[in-house]
Amino acid sequence: MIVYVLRRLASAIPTLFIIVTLAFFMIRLAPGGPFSLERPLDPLIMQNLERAYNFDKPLWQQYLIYIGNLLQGDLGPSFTRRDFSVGDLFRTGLPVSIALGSLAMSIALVVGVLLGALAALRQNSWVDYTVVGTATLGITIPTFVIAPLLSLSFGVMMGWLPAGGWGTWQHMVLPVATLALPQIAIVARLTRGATIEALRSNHVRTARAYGLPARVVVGVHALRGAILPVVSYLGPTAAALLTGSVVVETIFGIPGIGRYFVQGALGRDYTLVMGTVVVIACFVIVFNLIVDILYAWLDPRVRYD
Amino acid sequence: MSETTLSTALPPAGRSLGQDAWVRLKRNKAAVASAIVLMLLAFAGIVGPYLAPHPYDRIYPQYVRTPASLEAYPRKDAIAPAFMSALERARVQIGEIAVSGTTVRAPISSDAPLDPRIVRYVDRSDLFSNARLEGLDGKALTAGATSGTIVADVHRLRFLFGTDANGRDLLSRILIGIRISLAIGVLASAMSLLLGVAYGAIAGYLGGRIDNVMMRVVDILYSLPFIFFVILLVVFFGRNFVLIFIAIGCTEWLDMARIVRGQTLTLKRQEYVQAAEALGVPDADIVRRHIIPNALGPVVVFVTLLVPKAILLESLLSFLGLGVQEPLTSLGLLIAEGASNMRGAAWLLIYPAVTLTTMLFALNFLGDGLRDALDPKDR
Repeated sequence: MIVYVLRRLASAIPTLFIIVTLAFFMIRLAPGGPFSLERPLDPLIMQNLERAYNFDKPLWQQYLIYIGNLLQGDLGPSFTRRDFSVGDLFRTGLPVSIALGSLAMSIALVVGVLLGALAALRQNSWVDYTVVGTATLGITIPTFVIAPLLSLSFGVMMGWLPAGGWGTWQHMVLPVATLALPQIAIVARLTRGATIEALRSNHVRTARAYGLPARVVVGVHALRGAILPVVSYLGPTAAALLTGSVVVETIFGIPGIGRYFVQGALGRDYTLVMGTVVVIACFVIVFNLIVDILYAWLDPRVRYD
Repeated sequence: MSETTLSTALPPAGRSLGQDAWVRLKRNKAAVASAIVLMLLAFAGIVGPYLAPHPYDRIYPQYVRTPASLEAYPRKDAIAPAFMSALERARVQIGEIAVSGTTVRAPISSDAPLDPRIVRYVDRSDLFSNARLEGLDGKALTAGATSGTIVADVHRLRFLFGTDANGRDLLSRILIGIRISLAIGVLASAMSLLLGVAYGAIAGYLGGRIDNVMMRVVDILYSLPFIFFVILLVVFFGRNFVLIFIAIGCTEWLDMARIVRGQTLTLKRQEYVQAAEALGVPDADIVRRHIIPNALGPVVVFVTLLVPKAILLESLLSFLGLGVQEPLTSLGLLIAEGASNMRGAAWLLIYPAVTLTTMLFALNFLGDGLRDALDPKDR
């Protein structure tokens, strides 16, 4: 197993390298630069700036410099947020995004699996219909509709929770709810489908025939198999959730890292965009690995040798 | 001897694939209701902007953030004070102001003969127009008279959904937003349909190495983040309507290509296709009569589910400020504006949000209904 994990991590390096290379040249293709403002800078200042940030060198040399710095863990200075390095921005922003994302993830996992399993056990009852109906609702309504509506109703109209901002646990409730609701819906639907299938499978019938209590049959034997599609869904989703959501962060005014990609790309903040790409890619790779390990642990038929 | 009678009745009419699907679709209440809702929305989007009482880009500076209301503005009790304040500058004695329907009238008198030019004080206000002086007998004022009646027409405007932060009618903006959102959804889907069907059919039909290379290209494009692609397009070509649906179409055709390729691959090997080949049916006829109709089901279903996806993507782009440009608008842009104005102007968020949600719901239910109706495995 350890060998497998090490091999996977080693194979992640070329993947990461290709992603970084692609992203580097793609963002450089875009017209304009971080210093092209509405009022053009003095040519002399421009020259000095370009020299300071190596923009006067040919692109391939800049690329080599960037890769060299990246290997030393230096993501470079941010161009739009002066006085901050990209590393600083992530050091302050990433914990916020991870806190929100992991909370939303855990809630989605627990509530979604519970609701889905409940619906599957009471198939075609009112419980089932309610869960499926609500899940359809949760999947259809986009985040950028849920977020302002929650903020409006609980934050502005009723005044129970802050409508935006960051600091206390109250500030986390609405953003976490916004992030978790669609995920709960999807997880519930996935679990329901997989549980219905698992309940009809041979090993569950065997467990029932042994006279095991229903709690054990469902909780251990059926759910263990039913949770597999949920796990493979939640891998990439977790990576997306933990690296922040631009919509949620914009609406609730949260200092996470979700906004950096769009803002960076629009402001031609090359290093910020590159940093975001690197961070997201790392998260995706790590979570895909976690999913594969969990798979082997949950499903004994899966073997990595 | 018994006579044998030949049955002259026609054999029971067979039902085609399409008729069969239609019957099943009509049985699905949610899908029918969704289809009706969608037709209404499409009608609202196509015809609505022409019927709407206000142009979507007309700014009424005096009606910024007016709440939604059935009553016309200015409110009845606000007309007289506005008329009074406009007329005060004329320095004449003003009698009781009477408001009736769309006209407002007030008797005025002065020590000196009334100057007909005082009507300009009233006309200058945005609320009143066509101000005129009348004598006490209702006819035009005779020169030199010291008392008469000033009459003016009142502009009464109705803002059923209120106005936005710039003083534009929200109803008209939602109608044009429906049009833009639906248009982008349909056009982007059509674009990905064209690209995807052509690409997938070629890859599936030719097979072998060409198929391999073509599908690897799809895999590579698949791993690029959508938002990255769109931002690049937007910075290259600027923000405009055509670009947005091209960008969405360009990113959404990949799934379509996969589906069509898979369909073509399986259909090529079906017995009935082989039978047709054995009977000597030309290739073109096989494709037209057997491959296309059978590949169409999943494609149609996928397209109906693609439309809400495209609308959602466009709304997200507009929300991020990368979508259509003012004064044109889309539902996503309206929601973004509503979200930034929700304190004190909740209607700006609620109406567009409800409209978009309804549209997405209807499209999803219709797509699900179509899938159930067209899925041949379900029979």
